[in-house]
Amino acid sequence: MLFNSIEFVIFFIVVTGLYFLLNHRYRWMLLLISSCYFYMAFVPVYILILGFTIVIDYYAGILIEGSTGKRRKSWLVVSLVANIGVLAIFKYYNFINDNITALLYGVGQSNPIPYLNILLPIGLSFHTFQAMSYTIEVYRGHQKAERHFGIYSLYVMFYPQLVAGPIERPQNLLFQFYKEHKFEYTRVISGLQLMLWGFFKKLVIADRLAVYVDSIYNNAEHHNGPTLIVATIFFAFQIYCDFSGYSDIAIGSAKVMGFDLMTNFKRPYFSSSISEFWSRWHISLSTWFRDYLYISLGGNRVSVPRWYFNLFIVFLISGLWHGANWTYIIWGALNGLYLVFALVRARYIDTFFQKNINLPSPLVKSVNIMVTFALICFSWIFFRAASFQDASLIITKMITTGGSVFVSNAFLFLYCILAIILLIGIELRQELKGQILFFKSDRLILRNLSYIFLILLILLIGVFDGGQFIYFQF
Amino acid sequence: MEKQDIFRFVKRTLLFFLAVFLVDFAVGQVMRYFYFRQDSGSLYRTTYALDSTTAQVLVLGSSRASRHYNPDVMQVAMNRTVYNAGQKGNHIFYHYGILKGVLRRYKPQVVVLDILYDEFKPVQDSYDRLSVFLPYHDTHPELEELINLRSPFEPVKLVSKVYPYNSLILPVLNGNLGFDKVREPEIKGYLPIDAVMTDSVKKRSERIEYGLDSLKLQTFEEIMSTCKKEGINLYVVFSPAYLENIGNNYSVSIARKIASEQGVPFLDFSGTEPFVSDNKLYSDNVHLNAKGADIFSRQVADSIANRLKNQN
Repeated sequence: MLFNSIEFVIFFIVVTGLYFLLNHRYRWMLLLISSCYFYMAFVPVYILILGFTIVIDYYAGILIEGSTGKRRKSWLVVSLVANIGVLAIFKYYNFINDNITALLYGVGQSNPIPYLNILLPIGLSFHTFQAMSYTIEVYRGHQKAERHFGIYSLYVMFYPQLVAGPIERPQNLLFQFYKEHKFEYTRVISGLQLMLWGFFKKLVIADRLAVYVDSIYNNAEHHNGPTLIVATIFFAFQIYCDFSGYSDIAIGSAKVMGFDLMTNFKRPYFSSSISEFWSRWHISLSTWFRDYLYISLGGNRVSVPRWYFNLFIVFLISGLWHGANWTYIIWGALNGLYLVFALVRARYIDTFFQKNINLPSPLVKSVNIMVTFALICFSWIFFRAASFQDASLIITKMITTGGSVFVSNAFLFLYCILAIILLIGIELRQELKGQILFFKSDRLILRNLSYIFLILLILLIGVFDGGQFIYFQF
Repeated sequence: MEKQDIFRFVKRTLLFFLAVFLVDFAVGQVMRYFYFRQDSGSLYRTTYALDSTTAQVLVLGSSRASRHYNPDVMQVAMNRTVYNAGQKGNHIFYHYGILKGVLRRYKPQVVVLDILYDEFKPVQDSYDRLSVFLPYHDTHPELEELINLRSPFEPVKLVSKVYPYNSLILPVLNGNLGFDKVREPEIKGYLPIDAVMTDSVKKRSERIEYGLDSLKLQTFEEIMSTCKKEGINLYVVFSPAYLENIGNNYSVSIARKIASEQGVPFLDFSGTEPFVSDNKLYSDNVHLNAKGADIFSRQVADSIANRLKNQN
């Protein structure tokens, strides 16, 4: 069930209505049943995989808590192997197998390992990472093992964030299922505001840009450099609005019922450095890697070369997390390199400039924002391209070919430009004033006019036949 | 406290939706006014086909129809008035909708249905494109069935008065300002292209068999049975394309077979000279340019006129 469907709107109204009508004691059951229904609306049979990891992690949590020393660690290993194993089979098996085939082919051998004809369960990477954070936190002693099987299942399956995050931590989410959430007017309104903003980003911006981006990227060989540059910039806004739109709807729908999920995006394209970008983009994943991988590798409390290596490896794995394709791995590696270079630059070059040259800071900030955006756009080429060959072709064409930007449908192109201008305008206000349009105004009329304005824009220029969210595939 | 909050929420939500309803109604009316005020452009041509044309010969089809049939040329050969109701990007559902709309007002003597290669291939876009009929949902009840093919929730969405004009602000503006009169002048629905195809290499179109869209097949049959019932002479035409083996396209073969079973003439121009060998008659592989369209219009009109003469 997609968030951008009438089915979801009906589902949300019914579930939220019943949630507030039910006695607190039974609410977890309602949420669990509705989450199962939500997940099974995609491919019903994959709930069995989810069930498998839930059972393993539930018992692993209890066993970890009840043991010490090596035994404690071995239960954690069992849980991690089960989760990573499921990911490996469903997400990486065929990718690894393809690469083995290519390697063996290179030495004139054939690959005896069979190809698995399986579909990737929706949101697999998200809920396995959330499940792993639970057993790791229990192991570290930061979280008590959850004894209530239903509540633990709900922690993994809570429908707003089940298929594309935010990837929650047990300390932030589990206790909220025990709390009685009363109907609070201000909270409900604030949740609905976020949902409306999320729908706007998805329907008006992301899906509109997708039409142009898909038409160019799917036929990259026929297009010139300027067209590919424009399509890449459009894709940068498309993926941002697609994913942050999803996150806003998820956080907003949970908020209406009284749950606080973690912030996932903070207007990342206003970042003036790559490290700032990663503190504003997909925050729940970045912090997951920081907490469970980067710190485990020693973080920055190691020698400088090792520190750079730690950063690079975390981003490389983050790329692999996104998808079983070399393009994602290169995308991750590229971002890792950016960060390492930024650290080197900060250490030597920036210090020199700060001491010797005095440029006005708004100018420096503006230039930095543009450079950061350009670097991120460059990395998006690998993220969007179907293969490494396609990405190479696109980059080559960007450098070597000129001409005018391809516009097959002038109206579509104009809509895309207008949508981006609108987004930048609204987010600039949010960045400076801390609110979307007049969402937090003291004047009721201004707040309501803001909502009506967005609803009208959705009805007038939203794409109602749009596809699913990009991050669902991960 | 909770009860107070619920009461406040319900009250304000009702008032809010009342405000949304009023604004939606007002903006919807403005959009409607400007939509039906257009006097050029593709949206206007749909309105004209549904509400105004009284031509004796009606051409239905996609962009290939709108680019290939010159009514002025056909009129001379057929001695009948002709209107080209072809619309780019649309499929069999659209053609059926136009036919149904027209039949509410009058009965054309001849309908020429230009069939597209891969016409019966299951493509979601064919359903999405039915949004073209949304502005007519309240004036043309005969289109309701087709509109509902988009999704089962279409009647719910149509509660909004703005929704039928979704994504149409710029095209409506264009249709009111008349830019298309200069940019893309039409001749009774026909849109000539002056460009000449430069690539003379004839690509091969491989025959690929796919699962057929049963709704599209059913619609094709309904067009034939409707014409038969109304006493309209229907001609199914496959117009020229600069592609090797295109006449063997799976959907084209299916259309040919069904037409033959129903006793409807199927005119196949995929192997006809001069279109087979002269790339200068095309603007691209699948669209004739104005020169090619004039030659084709004469050929197809002569063919139909002869058949009509023999029939009488």
